[in-house]
Amino acid sequence: MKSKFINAFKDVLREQIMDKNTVHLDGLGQFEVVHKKQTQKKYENGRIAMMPPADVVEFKSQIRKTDEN
Amino acid sequence: MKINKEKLVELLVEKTEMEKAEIESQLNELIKRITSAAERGKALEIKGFGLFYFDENGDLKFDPADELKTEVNFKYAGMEPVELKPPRDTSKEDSGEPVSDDDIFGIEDELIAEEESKGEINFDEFNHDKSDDSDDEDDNPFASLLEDAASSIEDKDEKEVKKTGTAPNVSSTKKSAQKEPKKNASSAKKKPKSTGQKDPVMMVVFILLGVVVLAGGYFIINDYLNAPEQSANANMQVQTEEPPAVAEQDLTEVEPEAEDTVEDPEPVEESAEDETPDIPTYGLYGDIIDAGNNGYTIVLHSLRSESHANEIAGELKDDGYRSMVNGRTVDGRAVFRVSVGQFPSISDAQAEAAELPAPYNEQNFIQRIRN
Repeated sequence: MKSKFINAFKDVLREQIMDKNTVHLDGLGQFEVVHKKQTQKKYENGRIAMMPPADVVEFKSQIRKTDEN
Repeated sequence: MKINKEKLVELLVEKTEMEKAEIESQLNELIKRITSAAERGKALEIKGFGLFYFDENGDLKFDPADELKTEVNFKYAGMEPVELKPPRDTSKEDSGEPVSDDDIFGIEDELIAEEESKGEINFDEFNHDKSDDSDDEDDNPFASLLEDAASSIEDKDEKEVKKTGTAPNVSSTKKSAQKEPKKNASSAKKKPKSTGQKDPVMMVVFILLGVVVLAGGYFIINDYLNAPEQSANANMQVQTEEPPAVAEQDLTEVEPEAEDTVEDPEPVEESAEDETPDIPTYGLYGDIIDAGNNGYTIVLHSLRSESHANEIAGELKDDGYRSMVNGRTVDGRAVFRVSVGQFPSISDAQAEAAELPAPYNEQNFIQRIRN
């Protein structure tokens, strides 16, 4: 596999993800950016903290190990 | 906007200038390598992008690389959890002054009952408590004071009760009166009293109110003084709890990385990329340097017109900035972003962005430089 292709692949996917575009690859899955709202978190010691919002990359798999693609 | 496989192939062809058939075969081979490596229990990492692996349930998972996480979440970078409700430290209250809350509020309840009865107090009741019930004496530290006042007016009080006839059994059967204090209180309400009998009682009332106010003030001031320490301790605890979470993420990613060095198709090229940034090619001013295009830049304008973007970039360049124009597709529409500077990290870019003249110091965002 050519390194030129690998570099281009990660650059293109990164650019599309950064632009909040959903990338769907047949046979693999789907990449998308999901916004997580701020949430309250309760620690084991009883303290409560407000967790900040975040934009995260989520991957929805299209295959399972048992399915063998 | 959704990018499917065909659109991705087009973008890759545009990016690499390779044949479409070759791109498709390379892409299929990459997908095959990801799945086959994962099925063999190994993780495959594309450096700078992320890690593919199968989890315990047999689902293919993807962990984005730290660079990608930071780029995607740059708007909220640096935001820390904020503690909302620090719990009260009850141990300090227990170790405070030996003031019994029960005594205080028990007396206060009596005083409230007295005030409700419009200042009319059955001193017989206090006498009975003093003489016959040692437990009540312990509960009321001011019973001895009341005893003196009550003894001087006891005879007169009994006569007045007999005159009214509303509580004939109170003075004659003192023990039954002790067992039923509520009845005595109700009967006391009906007894006529002279205003002269209130003076010692009112003094006791004022003293008790003073004690209650002082005790309340003590607790309020004590809580106020301890509040900053509690919030400071709380903030420290939140901050100290954060690093382990990050450390755990690092660990989960480090272990597969060792496997990836076998699977990664381009380890040599990555190391070559890492060696090039030794030259000081980053900065806000001067000319664009190709070696600095692997970093970040400060976007100042995002325009629909490419000519207008180039015009603004030219003006910025005349002012001495390293300016550039990058085209992007956002929601299916082409935009042209005018940016300045080349920086090795997001934090460096943010630091320089804060020093830009208004309004650029507040109206900007950081993005990775793309060719």
